[in-house]
Amino acid sequence: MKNRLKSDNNFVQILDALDDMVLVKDSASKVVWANKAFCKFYGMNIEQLAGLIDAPHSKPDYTQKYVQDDAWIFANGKTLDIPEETVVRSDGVERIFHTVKSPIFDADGAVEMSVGISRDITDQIELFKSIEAQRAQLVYSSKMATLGEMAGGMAHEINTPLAAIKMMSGQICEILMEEVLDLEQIKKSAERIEMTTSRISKIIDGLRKFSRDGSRDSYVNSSLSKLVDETLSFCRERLINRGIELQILNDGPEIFLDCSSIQLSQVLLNLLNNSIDAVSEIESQKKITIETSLNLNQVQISISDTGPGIEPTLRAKIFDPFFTTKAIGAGTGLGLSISRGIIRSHGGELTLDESSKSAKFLIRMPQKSQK
Amino acid sequence: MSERRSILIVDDDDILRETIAYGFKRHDYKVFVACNGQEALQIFKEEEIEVILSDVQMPNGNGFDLLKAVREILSKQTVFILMTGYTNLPVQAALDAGADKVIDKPFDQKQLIQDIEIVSNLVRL
Repeated sequence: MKNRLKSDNNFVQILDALDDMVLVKDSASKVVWANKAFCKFYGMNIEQLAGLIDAPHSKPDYTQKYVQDDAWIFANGKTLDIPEETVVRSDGVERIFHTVKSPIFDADGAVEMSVGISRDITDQIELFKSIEAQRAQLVYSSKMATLGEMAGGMAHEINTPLAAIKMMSGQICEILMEEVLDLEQIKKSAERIEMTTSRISKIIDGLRKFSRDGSRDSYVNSSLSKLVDETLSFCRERLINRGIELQILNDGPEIFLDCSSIQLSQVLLNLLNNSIDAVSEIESQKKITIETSLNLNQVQISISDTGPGIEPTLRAKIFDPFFTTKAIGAGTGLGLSISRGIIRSHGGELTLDESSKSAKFLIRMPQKSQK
Repeated sequence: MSERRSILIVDDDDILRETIAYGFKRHDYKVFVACNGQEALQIFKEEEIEVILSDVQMPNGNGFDLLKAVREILSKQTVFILMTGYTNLPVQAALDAGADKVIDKPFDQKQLIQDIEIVSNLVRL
């Protein structure tokens, strides 16, 4: 075999023509042969490489890993797929290879050598990372846009208790100026100030939690009912003010699931905001229903409303980026496409229930994460 | 102030409504309270109300609707002050609809009473 590699010119020509790198090693993990692409990468010719375990400029940790992989091939006689391995180029720059190493058997069926085919996927990985980063940025921007649209309502929710606090403290000051102190009233006002402050803190806490960039969060086992409740804290004021009835249905025990709670909350808020907009315009019963269930480790969350529903001609487009039926400035058109992206990154799917006359969105996702 | 003024305070927030009510009682106002526009309109029809201090956003009848209804029923003699916690309330639209003043939450009680006195005197002139 070794001789054949050296003698079969056609064979060598073919391998040398490849852009991928080919490396043949013996049972001691020493280089038997390498194609031109590999030699070029290591900046060495075949004579210099032959007999070496690794190039002198490589790192001991990496060399050790290659040797371990080679040993596995010889021990198991099977192909080994290494999706990402780091290799040091002749100029000292580290590159990422996707390498597949396979055994070469001798006439008796014993592993005689190993052959590795490597492709430099560094640029591909960089591109993927930059796409991922842009996607994360888009998710975050869309969330900020949602918060911006909700800012007016949030301000009202904070300013109302603030008004009460300001008035109560003013009243305490007034009472303190009087000859006979109404201590009962002072106590009552002070207690109410404390209570009202907690109310504001809760709103700010929710905002702070929600506005954080959760794209790098690892998935945490979270209570679904708590997550729904936290998300609703952003909508309650609008639900009340617009006379919208909210129904929450859960037919079984409490559901826990692995997720980025910030991101899932973003999806729920998007869907709820759409439903609130949809039912706000109608005269008949305004109702939004959130239903959660667990079936064979699949979590299902449905959000439906009594609004006019989505026209059949628009159904295919609603998940497209920048598609919106809202007025200019009222929506980014990114809500549903980003929501679907978030659910898919959780290994699930976000769909529109086409059988429902009014709008009904379904989230189905695994209870246990693969991340 | 020679006579007791009557005021109707309309807000769905219990604590704020009661706090404002207490503040006006301390200043010798005859105080009525309602937690939404519908309730307020009912009281307005039954009682003699000189000043209405109403929140804008409330379930079951918001401040704008209440303002329009009040202006339809009666003369412009009732002082109508809208309270808002919003940053983007169309103030001009509120004034055009007949509000005498729009005040932002949070507000100072003394300032509020002063405002009411000024507006009331202007309206009575």
